[in-house]
Amino acid sequence: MPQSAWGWLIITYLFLAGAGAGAFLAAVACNLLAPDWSKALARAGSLAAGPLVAVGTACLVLDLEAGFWQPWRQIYLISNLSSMITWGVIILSLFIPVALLYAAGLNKITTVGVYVRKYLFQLEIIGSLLAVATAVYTGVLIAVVNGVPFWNTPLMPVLFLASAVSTGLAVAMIGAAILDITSIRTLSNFALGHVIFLAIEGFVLMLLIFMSMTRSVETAASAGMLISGILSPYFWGLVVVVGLLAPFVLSIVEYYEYGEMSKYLVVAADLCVLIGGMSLRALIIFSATPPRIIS
Amino acid sequence: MGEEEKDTLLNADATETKPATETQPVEEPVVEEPTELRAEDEKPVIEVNHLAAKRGRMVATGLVTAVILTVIAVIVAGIFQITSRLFIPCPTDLPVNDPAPILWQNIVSPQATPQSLGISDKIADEVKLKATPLAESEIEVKSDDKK
Repeated sequence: MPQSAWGWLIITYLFLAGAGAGAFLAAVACNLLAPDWSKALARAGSLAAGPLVAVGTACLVLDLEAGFWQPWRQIYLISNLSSMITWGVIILSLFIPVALLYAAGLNKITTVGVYVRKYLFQLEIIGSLLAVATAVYTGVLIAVVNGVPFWNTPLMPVLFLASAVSTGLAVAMIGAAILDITSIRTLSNFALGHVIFLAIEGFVLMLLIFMSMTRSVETAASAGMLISGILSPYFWGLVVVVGLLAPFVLSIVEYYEYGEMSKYLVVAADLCVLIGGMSLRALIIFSATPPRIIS
Repeated sequence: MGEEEKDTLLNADATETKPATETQPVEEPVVEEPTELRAEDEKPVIEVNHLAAKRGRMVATGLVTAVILTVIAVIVAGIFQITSRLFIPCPTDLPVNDPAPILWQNIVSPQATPQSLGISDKIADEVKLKATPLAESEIEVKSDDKK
């Protein structure tokens, strides 16, 4: 694989944090817009959000190496407010407890959940803002790296936000199937959401590739690696076909058949979205090329 | 037997059974109360067990979902690592010719070797320096100076 300073731990963090933030947004949307017939999905999304972001943050901490073995140095993570990493630490530190409290309140878990239930709406507002910040931050984290022209574009946070919402919806649907398999029929209503967010993600990805091919030599090299270079089999196979096209088609069929589609295909579509999301983040990281140093 | 006699006999049967029923209510409450108490005790226990099972299932759902996503991340990483060994990179692919890692290794190398100033020989060979030709007037001036 192409060498990169950012390895699989960072890629896993980008994937889990995005999916967790998206699951939280899906849960809030279901609870606010359709509380009567989407309870399973709202509950599943809220239950998955906190643990996913927590595991992703653990991957981030493990990647620190020096800070991991010398924890007192982690204070420097929050001492430089001009760094995006500092802001990321603050956002994640706030979002994880809010997500866990929301899950406890929505599902009435323990006495804390029963007490917090009174402030559910406030938690939804604050948590949604933090979830959007978490999903966008995963893209901003790499977009601020001036040393990699392919990453240094405002389209990167938009792409990561779209992918986060798409993967988050898939996580919530899989969780709903685990929680209550009989709710799989009502999940067909959310297939339209899959169609919309997958279309947005595909459009933004296409825009990123096309603009990169004309921006500079380095960005064109990165885009070339994805389209026709060493990373092209992964891009076309895992991201485009498995991650975008297959779930897009399955979601359209699922929406029009409403509950008549096999539950295995419904879950398979969501798993394809997740595989595509993880592959997309890996390819974005591995396609990085530094700016030209020889004129 | 006339109907009146039948009614009287039926009534007599009813009155005869009444004493029996009168005694039975004395016994029945004694028999029914323990079962009612057990049913009442079992209801909150059943409800508590049901709620605990429901909460346990909810917590398990969140954890299982996190595990599923982590497994997906590991599987995708495995696909990348295994299949990348099967590819033969094209000589024109940038990662093969990218000099940045070499430069980075030189910078972060812990070896205390004296480093020459400027660019290394390898990069100097790759850099094409354009020599600017002298203007004709400058050449004539120089030749006049020499004379």
